[in-house]
Amino acid sequence: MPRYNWPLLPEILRTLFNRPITVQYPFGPLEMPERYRGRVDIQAEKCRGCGLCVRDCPASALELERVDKETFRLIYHPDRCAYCGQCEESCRFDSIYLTNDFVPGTPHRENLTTVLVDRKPEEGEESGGDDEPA
Amino acid sequence: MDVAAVVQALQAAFPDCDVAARAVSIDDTFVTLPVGALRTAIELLHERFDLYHLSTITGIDTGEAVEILYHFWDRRGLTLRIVLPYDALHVASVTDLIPGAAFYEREIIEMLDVMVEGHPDPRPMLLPDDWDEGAPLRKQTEAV
Amino acid sequence: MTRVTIPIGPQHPLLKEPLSFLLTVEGEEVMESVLRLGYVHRGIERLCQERTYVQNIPLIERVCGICSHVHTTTYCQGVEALSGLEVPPRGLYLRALMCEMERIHSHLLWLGVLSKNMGFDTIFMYAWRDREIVLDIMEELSGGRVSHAVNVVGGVRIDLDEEHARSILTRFDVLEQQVERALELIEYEPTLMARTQGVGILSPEQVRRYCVVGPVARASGVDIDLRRDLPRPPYDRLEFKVITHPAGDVWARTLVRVRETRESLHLCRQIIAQLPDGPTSVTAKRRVPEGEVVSRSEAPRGEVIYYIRSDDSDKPARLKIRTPTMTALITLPDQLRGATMADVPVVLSGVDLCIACADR
Repeated sequence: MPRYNWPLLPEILRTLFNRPITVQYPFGPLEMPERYRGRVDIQAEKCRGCGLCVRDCPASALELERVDKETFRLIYHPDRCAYCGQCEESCRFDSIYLTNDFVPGTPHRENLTTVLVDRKPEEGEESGGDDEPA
Repeated sequence: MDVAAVVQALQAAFPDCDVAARAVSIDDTFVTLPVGALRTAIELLHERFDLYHLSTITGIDTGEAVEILYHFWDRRGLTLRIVLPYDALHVASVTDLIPGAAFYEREIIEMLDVMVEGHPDPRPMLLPDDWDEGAPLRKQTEAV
Repeated sequence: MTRVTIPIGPQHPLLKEPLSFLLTVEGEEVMESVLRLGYVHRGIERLCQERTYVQNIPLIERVCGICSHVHTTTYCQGVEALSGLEVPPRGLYLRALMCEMERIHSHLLWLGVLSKNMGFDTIFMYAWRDREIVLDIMEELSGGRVSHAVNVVGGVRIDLDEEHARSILTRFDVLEQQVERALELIEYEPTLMARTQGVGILSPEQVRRYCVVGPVARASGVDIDLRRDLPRPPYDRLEFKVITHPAGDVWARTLVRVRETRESLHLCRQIIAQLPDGPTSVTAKRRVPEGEVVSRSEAPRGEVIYYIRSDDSDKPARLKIRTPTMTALITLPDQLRGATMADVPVVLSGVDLCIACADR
């Protein structure tokens, strides 16, 4: 009846010759799952500046500076972001989405702020995409 | 729990007050009782229907009055509603009948400034010891 | 003998969350205890009144880390009832799948915490290693190990395809073997039984008076489980047993929780096998008509109840949350009376406290 040794014994034998399973980041690759909710990014040409993502963001991490229909900027604050994905869910034009890059830390908080869309009227080309400061 | 029988018994116990019952999603029935009838109603629920499980006590400041809701559960939900006018914010404690109500009553004392008479331990529970900005769930207290 | 007051917490009180106990001991025996809460009170109920229904979902999720999905499920269930929405069956099944996986995760976490506090680090390591299987599955499905962000008002945001389902089922087979081994340990290991049997006893009468819910109540023989008592789809089509045990001590709670983990694995398999086709969500209007709703759900620790009142705008007028840890906390002075100092970690860990839930 006292079988109390037995649950642990096969376990010990099984794991005795295992390699360590520690991930060697940052000295080795780190693969995130495909659906991992990481940094926010945008397909800038699809963005209409409607502001639904700004309205639904629970952490006020998105800011829309809007002059008129052709001139607006969408700014993203990764330090306020909760990585919940609500902006991706709310966007009707399939433009804003979450990548699976996790946001590493930085000692300078201001450097994290990103301009996602910077749309100006048709004089030259509209500049979109993100400028990623260091 | 036979909700119809409970409502009937409550209406029979308080014939001169308007005991109105209303079905509420998801599987609940709300019964509005006068303030003084609370303890008698709970004793009735205990003795005749063996209804003892109090899920929680909710307090709301609706802008016109403070409502206190006592949510019971026994395979179906039953909620007793008490309406307190702003100038008479006190209610009798039910902790001696239901010891599990102690923490819920402490919460309405500190969050809504309602005086619960007869509570064995009315210390503030969740708010910091040096909180002096008013009861957080009252309408006149502004959110920071 | 003189009485000495010993403080436990609020820093590192055997849990990962702050809670303060002042124990009055005479020799080795605890005479009285005083409990102090509120160290992680964030005022979530008041914050929810200032934000829209959509913005509240991530906020509600952060009430607790371990049972975050159940909180959003109960909240969305309530708002859907107020708006008159019907979630498609596939959405309900996927919600239930995440709920059951969260239950498995929570019980394995708790098993590790109890063992660590008893000094049995081996079970802690093995339980948390097995927990990684569930966390990896949840991360692949939802995008986060702890914050899942699966629920929206009207359904769920995730979906599951055939290949992914097959890989999940294979990993569940591995996990089931591990859980069986843990169960054997709990049923036969003499040191574990010596430390947990007869400690922290709650009688069924005390469970009634204190309105205790969850595995703590089921371990005292009281047969309550909202998955069976409030049969909402898909639980009305799934077969599972409600585990109870008459002893009422910490050993009974351990048995109940680990057996529940096994039942949850069976439930997950049934859910994946019966997963219906169709959409996973319906669109919800941002403005919710006037009304009130009481929404209940079975979290890993017991009954979670939400009361929501709406006033025909896009912000709730009142949101009240009561988590099951509140019901367990109120029984602790009774459980600690008469216990020795060495039993205190076992008693405190045995009720599975989640202070972030209790404080909101």
